[in-house]
Amino acid sequence: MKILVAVKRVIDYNVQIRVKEDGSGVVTDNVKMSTNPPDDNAIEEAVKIKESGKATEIIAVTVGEEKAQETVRKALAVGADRGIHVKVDGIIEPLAVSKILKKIVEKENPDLVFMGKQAIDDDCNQTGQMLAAHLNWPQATFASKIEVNDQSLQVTREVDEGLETIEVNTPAIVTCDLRLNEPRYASLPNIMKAKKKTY
Amino acid sequence: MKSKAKVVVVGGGVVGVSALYHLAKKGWSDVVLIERKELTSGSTWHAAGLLPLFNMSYSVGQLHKYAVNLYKSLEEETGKNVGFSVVSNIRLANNKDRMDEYHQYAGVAKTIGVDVKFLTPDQVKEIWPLCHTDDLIGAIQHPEDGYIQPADLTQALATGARNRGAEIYRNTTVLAMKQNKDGWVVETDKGSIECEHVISCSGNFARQTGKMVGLDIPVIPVEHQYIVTEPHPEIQKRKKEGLPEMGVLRDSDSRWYMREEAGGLILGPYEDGAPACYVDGPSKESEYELFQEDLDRLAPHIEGAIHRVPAFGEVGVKKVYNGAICYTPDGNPIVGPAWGLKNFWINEGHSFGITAAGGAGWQLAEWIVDGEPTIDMLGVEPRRYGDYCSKSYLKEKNEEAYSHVFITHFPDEERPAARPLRTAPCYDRMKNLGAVFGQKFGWERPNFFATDGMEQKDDWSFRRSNWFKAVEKECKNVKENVGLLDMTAFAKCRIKGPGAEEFLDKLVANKLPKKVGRINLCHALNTKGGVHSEFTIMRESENSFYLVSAGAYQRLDHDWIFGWMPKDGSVQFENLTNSKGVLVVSGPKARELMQRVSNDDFSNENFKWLSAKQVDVGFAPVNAMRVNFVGELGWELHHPIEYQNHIFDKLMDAGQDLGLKPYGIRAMNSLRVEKSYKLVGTELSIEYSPYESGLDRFIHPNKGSFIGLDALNKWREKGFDNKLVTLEVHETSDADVLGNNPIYENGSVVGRATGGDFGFRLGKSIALGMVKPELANVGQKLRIDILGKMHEATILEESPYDAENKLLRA
Ligand SMILES: Cc1cc2nc3c(=O)[nH]c(=O)nc-3n(C[C@H](O)[C@H](O)[C@H](O)COP(=O)(O)OP(=O)(O)OC[C@H]3O[C@@H](n4cnc5c(N)ncnc54)[C@H](O)[C@@H]3O)c2cc1C
Repeated sequence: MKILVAVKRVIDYNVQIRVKEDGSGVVTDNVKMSTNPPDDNAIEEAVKIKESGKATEIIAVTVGEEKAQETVRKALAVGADRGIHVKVDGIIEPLAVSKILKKIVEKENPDLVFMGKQAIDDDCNQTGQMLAAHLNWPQATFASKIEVNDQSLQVTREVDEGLETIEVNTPAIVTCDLRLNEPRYASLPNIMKAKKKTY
Repeated sequence: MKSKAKVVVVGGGVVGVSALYHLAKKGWSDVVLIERKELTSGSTWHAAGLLPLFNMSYSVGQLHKYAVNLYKSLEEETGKNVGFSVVSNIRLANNKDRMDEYHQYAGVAKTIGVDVKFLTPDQVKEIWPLCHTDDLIGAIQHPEDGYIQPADLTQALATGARNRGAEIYRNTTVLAMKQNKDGWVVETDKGSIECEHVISCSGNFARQTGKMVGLDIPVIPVEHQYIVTEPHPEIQKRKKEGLPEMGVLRDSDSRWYMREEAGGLILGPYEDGAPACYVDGPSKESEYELFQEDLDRLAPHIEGAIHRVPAFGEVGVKKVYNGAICYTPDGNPIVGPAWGLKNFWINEGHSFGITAAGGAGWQLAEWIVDGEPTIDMLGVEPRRYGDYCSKSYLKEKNEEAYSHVFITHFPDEERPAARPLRTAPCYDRMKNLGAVFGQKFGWERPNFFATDGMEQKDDWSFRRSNWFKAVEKECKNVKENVGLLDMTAFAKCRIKGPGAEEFLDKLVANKLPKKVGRINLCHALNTKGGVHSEFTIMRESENSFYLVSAGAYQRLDHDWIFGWMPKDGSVQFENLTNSKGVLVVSGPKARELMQRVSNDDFSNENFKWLSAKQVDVGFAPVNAMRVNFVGELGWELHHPIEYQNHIFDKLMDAGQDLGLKPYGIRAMNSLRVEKSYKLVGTELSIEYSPYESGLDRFIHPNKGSFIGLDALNKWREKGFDNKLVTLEVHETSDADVLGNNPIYENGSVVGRATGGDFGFRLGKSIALGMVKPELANVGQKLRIDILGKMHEATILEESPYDAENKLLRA
């Protein structure tokens, strides 16, 4: 089984966001950036599934500017096998991202696509859903627990009323909640190795 | 908000809050602090909290020592826990130069009373079982060292200040500052405050704050990162077993610090290539700011850390902090009065601000309340820099200072960045003659000359190195023939006007030269009677004096003059530093040389020692002053700078068959030590009275009132604790005294060496040092530590080379 995980580079959650003086956006120059936090959960879950023997390959993919590759490298450092960086300058919104992901899915043929439930910079919460629509795949959003079965997943979702458990057939899209797991930290040797990897 | 206060402190990082605390503690309760955001929201909040006592400088060392003691007592005083973990600190060495550095430093530590121990690799392993020690040769340990929680420390100091009446205004920004009659008006976005004194403690905003009052403060921050790992099972196990923390570990040769943090480890490397940041200041909104991490830059140090402590690579990285850390070109902070402005104080450029805040606040409070600091502050003196510190210079130099944090601090080190910058006209000529240069106050000065096939390159060491032989040749040539030294970097000025004599007479402790053309060596004391500055003063005319002092202290000395000068127009000050060059000829053949290049009379009858004459050299006008710092017949030739090469060429042509050869600063140091000549910053300091420094013949307490006289008289009544002596150090083989070496008698420390060198004219290793007065007798045997090895030493007569100055008077 192959898992594709989409990751996004965002301003670090600790940073106090500042608006540019001309009001055209937020300041990102030399501001600390990191992986969108629930995307870390998505990677972690994929790695766990692979560790349990149920997956054979994890591909991390990001859509963004040159430096977004750091997010892919971070995913490689914690256990992704391969990375894909679709280079895009400037701001890109969920519809475009989901269309790009669709193309990658068609090329890579993964059984599962994981990503964070939403990005903390724009809080759109749309990419996973749109991708499911483009692919006409089942989706399980806000996952806080995932059980992998033969041809399906059992997913516990965080919804307003509490928890809901659903079953989806694979291939499927899953967007991950922060409660899904405790993402591991990469060790320095792995971080440094991932930095040198070409992909 | 108050509209009036005695002092306004700008900036609420640990440094500003400590200054506020110390003012309040000194009894000034009417003091306020203004912070644009929250306390600690600048650089303080993300500091790693280490308190390194290690510092090669005598003054900075004392500030750090005071701070550590203060921080230990704060909880008891304020009821606030500052999270001080006294876990000790170990610095590793894997080569001999590094061990020499630690031994030299141990001397500083012993003379200021800081506890240090040397450890073998096995002892390191005992304390730090996770450390790989096979390739080490030793280590130095500070048992009293550790780390603290910077934000908690700041809050405790704030509590201590508030308890004594000080007020802190947060979310208030200082926008402008204007001088008024008695002090300053500080304008903020919430109103104005009138005050007597302002202290600038604005961290990364130093240059912006300086600009408000027209000061170019030489501070630009550099990025610094540290890595925090998740817990490691081994460390957690140690904790469970109740074992102590392993303490702070510094691998100087791999350039990082490491300590435990919540069961994991912190690693902070000082890498090459860390960029300057906030070059034009942080943004107006900046608070709690972190930059993008860059681990690539740290790669060699991370590898070094994993080699040293494999456990560090075995667990995941929780977080990487990359923040701004203020720097100055030499890496030390800037603490003291601003130049040219009354009652404006600078406490900026702190790269180890958590450590230095305590001592800096303490000395500034002394300085502001009592008028003088109590310890020698030259190492952090704001006026040690000049207006050569352009923004681009700072950027380059501060990045260099950052990457040099862990280099071996050789005593003869000359840092390469941003050079050459200021050059005398004869620079190229000197270079062609083999000069290897050093830099002082931005000026390039020949340190020594590589001749006879020697590589034109410096060779730094704590011991005698390649240049030792070169300096020997230079010294011998000065003794036997005649040498030429470029001293263009001297600070020079003219004081004139109807009030000049009266003013200078009040400024210095010696009598002024009476006759036109006479020269006296004069010392300006501070108000507590310590030695502040040394001037060679020549009377140019009835109402005009020419003053020469050390190049490194141009701004300090001139600011001292300026600060005391009457402002009624009766005295004028003219800085001549950049318009006059100085070439020094010295040696027994100096007279013959001068007679060959000049038609003026250089005979002993008509050109006496300690006098000056306006003469021609070749076609150039020269003020020839018969003084020098090496103890031979000779003249300092002060000239309008544009004639320098003309004079230089005339001298070199005429001197060829007299054996005229250039010499450098290192030879000068050897020669001056043999004459027991003193230097400001080592033998002369505000911590010593002129009598302790052996300046008796230059002090005239009965001449009438002068600055520092009353204090000096009281000091004398109380009795002195030190006496400067000249010592012969026996059985030296490859190293001489460098300064700050402890001096022992019967196993206890009885003094410290201030300087030393090998004296080639005497064929002896010589040291100058301060010892207890009762031991300051010729023939007294003492012991002196050179790089960890004890040497016998004997006190000599002052000026062991030509004690009667016969050569100078010849
Ligand atoms: C990653 C990192 C690790 C470090 N580790 C250590 C360590 O282990 N040990 C150590 O000793 N040092 C360490 N340092 C250095 C230490 O953080 C600094 O030296 C110290 O915090 C400087 O304190 P400060 O008060 O001078 O500056 P800051 O803390 O920056 O305070 C200056 C304050 O002035 C305020 N201000 C500026 N302009 C104005 C204005 N116009 N009006 C009102 N307020 C104003 C700012 O808002 C700011 O709060 C570290 C630094 C970094 C970046």
